[in-house]
Amino acid sequence: MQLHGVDIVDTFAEAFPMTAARVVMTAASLEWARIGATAATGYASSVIGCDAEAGIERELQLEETADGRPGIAILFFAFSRDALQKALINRVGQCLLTCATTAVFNGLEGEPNKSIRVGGNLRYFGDGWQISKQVTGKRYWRIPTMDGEFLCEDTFGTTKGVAGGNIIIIGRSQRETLTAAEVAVRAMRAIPGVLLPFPGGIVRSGSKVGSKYAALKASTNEAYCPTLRGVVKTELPEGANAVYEIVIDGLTLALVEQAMRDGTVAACQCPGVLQITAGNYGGKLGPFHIRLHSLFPESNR
Amino acid sequence: MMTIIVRHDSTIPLEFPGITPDRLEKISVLHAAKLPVLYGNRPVELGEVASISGDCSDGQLRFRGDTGRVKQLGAKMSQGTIWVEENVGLHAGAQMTGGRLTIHGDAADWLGAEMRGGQVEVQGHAGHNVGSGYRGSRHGMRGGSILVNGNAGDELGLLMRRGTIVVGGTIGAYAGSAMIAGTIVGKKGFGPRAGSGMKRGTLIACGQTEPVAAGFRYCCDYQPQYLELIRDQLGAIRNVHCYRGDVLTGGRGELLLLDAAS
Repeated sequence: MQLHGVDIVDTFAEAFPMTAARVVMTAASLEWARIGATAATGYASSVIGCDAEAGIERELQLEETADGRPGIAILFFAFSRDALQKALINRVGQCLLTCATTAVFNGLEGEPNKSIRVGGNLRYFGDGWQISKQVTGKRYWRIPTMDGEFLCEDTFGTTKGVAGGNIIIIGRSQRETLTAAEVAVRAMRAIPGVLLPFPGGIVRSGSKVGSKYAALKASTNEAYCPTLRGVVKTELPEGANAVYEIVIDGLTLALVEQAMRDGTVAACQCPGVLQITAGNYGGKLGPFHIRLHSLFPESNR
Repeated sequence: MMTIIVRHDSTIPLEFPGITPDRLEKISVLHAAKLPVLYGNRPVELGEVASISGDCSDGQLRFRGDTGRVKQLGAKMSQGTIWVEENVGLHAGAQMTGGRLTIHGDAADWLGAEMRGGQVEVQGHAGHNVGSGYRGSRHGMRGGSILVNGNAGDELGLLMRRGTIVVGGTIGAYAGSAMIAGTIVGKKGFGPRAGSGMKRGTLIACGQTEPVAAGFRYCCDYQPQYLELIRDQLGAIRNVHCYRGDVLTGGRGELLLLDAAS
């Protein structure tokens, strides 16, 4: 199959369920909201080595936030609710509680009885001076800080999201392939409920499961490394000199599929793109197999 | 909707315990007319002092007529809606756990006393001890909200444990006394000695420049984000003067004096 003259490999992305939450954080200015959100989503590219996968979903208008201030929606994904709660407590506690002027709200209604307690755990920082308030059925904690007080919602909703959706863009040169990946990222980030957890949304170090070193869970995917093309069993087509992967987490499978579709279409329109493929683990790891060809029904090609 | 028109021109009070939508929704008008109420200390049937029409299957109940001396109207209700077109007597909405009670006239003392949930709205004034705990009780209001558009009397929110009280007019003395938690908003400030002996909780006063109890200490001027969550009740806020008290009981309560934005 070809799209705008680019080969779409007949393969699938292998995705798996992860627990997701949306945190809405606000601050006195958009600049401080960005600072807080950037800190809270640091070191959160992959659960292979991080406590959670996290990233900025979008910036919010004043009328979209509970306190009428500039805000940012952040998505967090982790393997379980317990892991997500622990990650959120640590990240909100270390990065948002500490950040000037911030307040933190739940941004996801979530599944019934599947909420996690964040403010309710962070309240102990108040050392007895914390104040609980209920407003329209929601509980908030007010923790005294040196610039006033930190406001944090007691519980956050969670849902079973989908992580590990991906596309791999193979191109003629590093510059052209990176440009195509950037264009694809912009198209994907326009979709609410989608998170691209890697730096700039793009992965240069696509990995395979396992390693020759027993202690490693993952190692470089040599089949897609141009510098090893001559000495390993390569997956690269003729003329390919750079590869970038975009990993996608979404609140639903449909959102991940939409992001893969929109990203692929956007990338295929860029010069120098030779092939779009997807990463999987032979179908043994995740229950969701998103076939690239199924994203593009014949009637729409 | 069921309508109950009270016919009562005596100074002897009536008591309507249990005349609530949750109890009336499954019974007919005839059964409703036989429900026991009190005329002074004498049990009578509801039908003897009121005329009843309609049915309450939709959970809606309307009171009309001489309700000014009817005690416990809406007391202990758990669901549904009650409208009262005139004034109500003592203990209206007391100990209610849910539902909505709307009073278009004035309410006498002990409005919403020891209530645990639901909403009470009074278009006129309210008497003393709104949302308070009864004598000997450890806790007053423990949930829900009370909105009084007019003035309120003394000891509002006494021993209040949770919930919200908003008063549009003036408030008498000792509001929020011995308060344990919860929020009281005085849109025209508080009367003397508000917050005396409060352990925790929040008093929010609009248009007031001085703390009202000796046990409060000025802390700072700031803009708490929490108030933005209830800005529809407070209007635009320019600045907040924060006082903590009552220092005699730990100083964990707060009195927020609001400067309205011009």
